[in-house]
Amino acid sequence: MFSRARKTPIAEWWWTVDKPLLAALMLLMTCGMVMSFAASPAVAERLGLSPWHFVIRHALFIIPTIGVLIATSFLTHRQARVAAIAGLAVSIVLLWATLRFGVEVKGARRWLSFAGQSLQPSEFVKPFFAVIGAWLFAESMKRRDMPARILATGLMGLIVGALLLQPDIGQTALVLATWAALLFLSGISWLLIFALAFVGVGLLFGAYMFFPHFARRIDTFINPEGGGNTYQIDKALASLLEGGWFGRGPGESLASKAIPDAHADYVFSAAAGEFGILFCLVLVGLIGFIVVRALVGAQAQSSLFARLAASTLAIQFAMQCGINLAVNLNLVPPKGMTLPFVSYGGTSMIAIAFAMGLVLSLTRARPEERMTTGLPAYRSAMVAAE
Amino acid sequence: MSLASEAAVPTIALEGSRKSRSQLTRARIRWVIFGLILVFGVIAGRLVQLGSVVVETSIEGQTRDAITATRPPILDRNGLEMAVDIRVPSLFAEPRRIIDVEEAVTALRTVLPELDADWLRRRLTGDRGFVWVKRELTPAVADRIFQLGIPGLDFVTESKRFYPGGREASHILGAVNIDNQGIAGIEKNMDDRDVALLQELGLARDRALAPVSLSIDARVQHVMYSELLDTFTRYKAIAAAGVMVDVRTGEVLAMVSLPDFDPNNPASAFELYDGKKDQRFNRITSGIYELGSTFKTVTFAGAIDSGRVRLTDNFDARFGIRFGRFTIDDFHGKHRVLSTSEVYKYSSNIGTIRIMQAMGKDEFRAFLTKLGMDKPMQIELPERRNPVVPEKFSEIVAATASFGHGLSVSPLHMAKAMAAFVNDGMMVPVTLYKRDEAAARPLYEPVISPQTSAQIRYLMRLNAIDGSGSRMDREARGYRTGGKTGTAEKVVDGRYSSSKTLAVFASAFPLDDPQYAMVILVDEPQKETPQSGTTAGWNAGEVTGRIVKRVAPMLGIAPDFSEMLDQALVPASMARAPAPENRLGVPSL
Repeated sequence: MFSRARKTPIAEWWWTVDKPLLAALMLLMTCGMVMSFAASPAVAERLGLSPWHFVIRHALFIIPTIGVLIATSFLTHRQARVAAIAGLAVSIVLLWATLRFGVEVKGARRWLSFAGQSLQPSEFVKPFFAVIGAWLFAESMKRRDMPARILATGLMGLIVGALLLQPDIGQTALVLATWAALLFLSGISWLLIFALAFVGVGLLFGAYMFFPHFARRIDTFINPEGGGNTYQIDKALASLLEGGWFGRGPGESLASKAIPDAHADYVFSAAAGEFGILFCLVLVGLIGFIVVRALVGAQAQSSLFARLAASTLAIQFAMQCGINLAVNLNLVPPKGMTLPFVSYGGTSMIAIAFAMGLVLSLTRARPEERMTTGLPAYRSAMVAAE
Repeated sequence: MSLASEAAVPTIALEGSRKSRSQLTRARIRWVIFGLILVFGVIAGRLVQLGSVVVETSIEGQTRDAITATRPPILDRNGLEMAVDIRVPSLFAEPRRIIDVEEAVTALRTVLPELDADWLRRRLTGDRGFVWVKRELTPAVADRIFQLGIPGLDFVTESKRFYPGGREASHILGAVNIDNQGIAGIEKNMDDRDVALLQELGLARDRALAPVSLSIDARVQHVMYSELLDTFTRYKAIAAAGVMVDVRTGEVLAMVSLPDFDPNNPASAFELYDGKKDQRFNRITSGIYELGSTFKTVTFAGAIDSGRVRLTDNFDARFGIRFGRFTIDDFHGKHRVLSTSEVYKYSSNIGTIRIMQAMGKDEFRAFLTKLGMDKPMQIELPERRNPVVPEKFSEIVAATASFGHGLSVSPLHMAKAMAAFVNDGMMVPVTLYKRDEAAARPLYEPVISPQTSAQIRYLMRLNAIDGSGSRMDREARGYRTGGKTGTAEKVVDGRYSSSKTLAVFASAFPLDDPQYAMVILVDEPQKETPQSGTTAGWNAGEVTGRIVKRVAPMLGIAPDFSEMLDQALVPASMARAPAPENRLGVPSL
């Protein structure tokens, strides 16, 4: 099947896909499954479900996730663009539809529910926006006459508008950051970058002024003794400390059982109690490897679109992981953000599978590129970089 | 990459050069990689920092693990539960997180009105991270407090020790403190042995531990407990104690000491008894006594085993023996020449001194060492007291020691020696943990010969039929019990008092096939009726008989009234020359 002699699509995929990156992603999913065993039974029991409720569902979600990851990585650049445009259009429509038809959970309308399944469109918007944004930026960089940047900014506005109305500050920030990353990568001047960073700080300050729940979180983070609700993060830190370097062993951690969201946002600290900080360091290393590998792969692409899209997706992944880990370690104020491929949640897992599948597809070694330079793709990239 | 070169980039970009654009994005990606490595580096650094934190796992000085730790259940030899763990919630507060102390105090007192408002207010005010509010609540109360929804209050599930038998085996089981650590008895012993280690390894949390089987028989324990309790009303005793051991395995089947305490409420161990302090200790292991005439059995065993005294020997007991200005005489003495068995039967002090002297005082002292009388008792209880036995015996010390005065040992020392005397001279260390005979045999240590053992059994049984143990035998008819009384005058204000005595009965049964040895103490017994006496046969002896009567059937000993069994106990030397008044030698009653 993988023979080089016959040029089947699968063989071609196998010989061109970034295998270390693929392996790292699979390993991350495996870690997620193992951590689900540690973290979710206590939550399930608390919710009155069978202890293995989340573990089983997590395992069931992993199957389509792997499918989506592999299938997406088969796409060519052109197919990726088409898929992203279609996906973006659908998810923006759904995103706006949540405002009208969404299910209200804890004061926010973020979820659409059909056929018994709930879906969070904002999760899908992010990767598709990254790809389309990258394409628009790449076009605008190639052809000055295209108003592509303005189009991208408009798209961003359309998404951010819906997200703010939901309201969902975390996703808003991620979409804004995606757009900023695109701007940064496309080469705007440092002066503009600092100006935008200043605006970003201003926006945060604005959010602090206008969103009381956001302000409360910041206050509580700065002054944890001030009577704010620090239950979750207290329990998370207790779990991390309880585990020590080597962990308490499977099922032995008591602190992790008290974390309310141990299966979702706080799976990292819950697992720390059982498997220890060394395991967590390995996990952080694995995520770091995925991010850097994807970025290096993106850097090597000769196509501007591929380079921008893959690196933006990698940056999105990195931001999501980074925010989740920082929240778990109480480095930043708590912000609901799932840990890709590890936290429980079907929408998030499949959306991330789309994103990382696109990264895999965009960083595949391309024979056509080899033909133009007469060198392997990475060599031609090196030549171009020199 | 420097900022200077970057500054030139926008102008190049305006020229629309694809080449420099691709160079530029690559450079920017490099910046991104650099930035992200920094972010993940910070995260890893934070993890390392958290890993290096030495966790304060203690709760007000106690380790959290110890509090939530489980203890193994304790079972008696037949698998009955003597101590079990139950899980109970305990309420603690984090004062620094309590928003409104007044509100919390008011709300808490609706559920726990017994808490003092001022105390609670002081407790909940401040910046501490952990204070106990009320430990060991019932689940229902814990639930009501939970429903109050006061922030800063939380529960820890603690293990609480429960003793279904209550006071019955208090001195054996001991007690645990509120942190579930053994503070007395077997509980403390278990901690010292291995539970502490298990808990340290974190293996003893939240899971069932293999139960610990004791040698105690809860039925026998109950009988002994109820019979000894009875002495308080029957004889107006101020204290009573008893111990029964299996002579073949060294297992303790029952051990009672009264007054006692309630292990479910360990503080009761320090309560006053009859207005006096420190009365609730374990008299069997941590009480040492001059055991009086019961000690004569030891003297006889040593003397007969030395070969210098035979049962048929006669000793002059006509006159008291003078030591300087002291004269030692017999209590209700016969004042005639007595045979060895008569000396035992009539409990003659004079005869016993002569027997000891025939053996030699230094040999007698050496025999006590051989029996371990001068060493602390080896038993799995932390409550032990060293015996007081003079290092070297002078003539007079040896003389008084021969009938149990001038040296103090624990009743358990006596029980262990009695067990060896009837068990063919094989002494076995006593234990509170279950042990079978196969495991006990390698521990056997011969202290007297089997022939001597047979003669001691004969003497003990003889004493029960004809001597001071007859009141006991009347109670336990058919169970072939034998033993020796001892009525030791207690030292009051430095002098022996004839009104305050310690009555002791050291026995073994059934003597045709010795299985159990028992020592019973009754402290300061009074006459039961005006007609009865105060010597040990009237109280400690009768108690022994009543216990044997009740426990022997449980232990599988069938009553047998056949006199053949008693006659079989008579040693060959005696059978040839039976003393005329010796019923054992003469078939007729």
